[in-house]
Amino acid sequence: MDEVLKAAVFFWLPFALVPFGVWVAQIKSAKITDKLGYLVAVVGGILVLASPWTVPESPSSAVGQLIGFIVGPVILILFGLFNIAYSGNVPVGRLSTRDRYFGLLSFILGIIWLSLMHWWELTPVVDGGEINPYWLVFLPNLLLSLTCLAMAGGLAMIAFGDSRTNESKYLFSASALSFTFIICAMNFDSPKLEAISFREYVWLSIADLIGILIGAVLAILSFALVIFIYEKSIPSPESIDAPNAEELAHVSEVITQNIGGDE
Amino acid sequence: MENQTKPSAKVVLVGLLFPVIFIVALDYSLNGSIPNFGIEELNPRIANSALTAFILFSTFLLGNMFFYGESRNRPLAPIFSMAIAVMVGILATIFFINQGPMLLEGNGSVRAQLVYNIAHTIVSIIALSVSGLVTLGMMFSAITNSPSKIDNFNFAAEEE
Repeated sequence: MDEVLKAAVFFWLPFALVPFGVWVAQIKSAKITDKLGYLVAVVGGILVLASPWTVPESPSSAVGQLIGFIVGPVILILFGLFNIAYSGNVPVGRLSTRDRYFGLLSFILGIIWLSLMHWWELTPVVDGGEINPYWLVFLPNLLLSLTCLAMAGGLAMIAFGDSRTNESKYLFSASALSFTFIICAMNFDSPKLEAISFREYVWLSIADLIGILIGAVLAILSFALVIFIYEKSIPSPESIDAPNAEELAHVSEVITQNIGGDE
Repeated sequence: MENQTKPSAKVVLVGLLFPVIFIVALDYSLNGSIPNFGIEELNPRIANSALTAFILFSTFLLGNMFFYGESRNRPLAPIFSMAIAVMVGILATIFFINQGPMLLEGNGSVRAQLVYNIAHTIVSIIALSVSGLVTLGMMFSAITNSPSKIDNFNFAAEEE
């Protein structure tokens, strides 16, 4: 099979199936589409994860390899946060204190695992011993966006919340930790990556985030413009005649039957 | 009194951008410029990223247009308009990349650059989504694990 066609069939098609499956699962008119949609998404996800074996010669399969590498720590972190959140003051479905500690352990393990992927030998490498090029996109983007979002989240808690200064300190700490990680990685070599190379990737990552912001805003503006033009083109609804005496009498009768109460 | 010391929404927006500016300033102060790396490397990344993000976000919004159009009498009209927006984005990308090495980042052909752009943007969006989920999770965890703001005594009094 042609190399390009192979990449399309074993990587890009399954990749497209993931959002398509999720989209189909949202259609509520038929019950079967719910399960079918999620099944399609899961099958697509498995095929993407298997792409380093099914299409090892395609550069795109490095994305599949990256997802395989990060899925473990990311699940641990999110599972940990879920357990911590739902073992607190929630009105229903509260988890036990043991679950809170288990969640905290999962969260810390996930963070350590992700950190060791940069600072130790766990860095994802492709055939030939080179670092997975998409890992060098993912890590700076993750750290940068976490620094910014956690900082903004902490400020938002103070700005929009009611006496949330103490709670916001956790987010400021996360932002500070992420910031420290970036600055350290930009100044100290890791076993597989020199600090100067990481600096380049951080600068490229900033360019990337700016580009994504511009593209997303343009897409949202064009989306809003289409709706605005379409809504303006819809004619206003026709006016109806005022109710006649018979209709008013009927309305009065209905209102009389429904107001008041048992004495 | 407390409301007067609260930061405004503008401060939240500045908080979103401040770390990026601080990292750039600190790195430049500590280490100076990067050898053989400058605006020529950054510009194509911004342009490629913007064009690809436009196409991906427009495609996602096109899916939403399907539900929007379904609620109107002429469901195809908005979908058709949005499809044109996606097509314009794709054609603009091909046009700009075809203008020579301006937007080719070490890739030999237009097709290779297009595929790389999509993969690159998807990875960036995954990173953004993970950090968004972690931030939301931390926020929610901090709120639910803090002492309840509802005073039981007052709550009981209100119920009466």
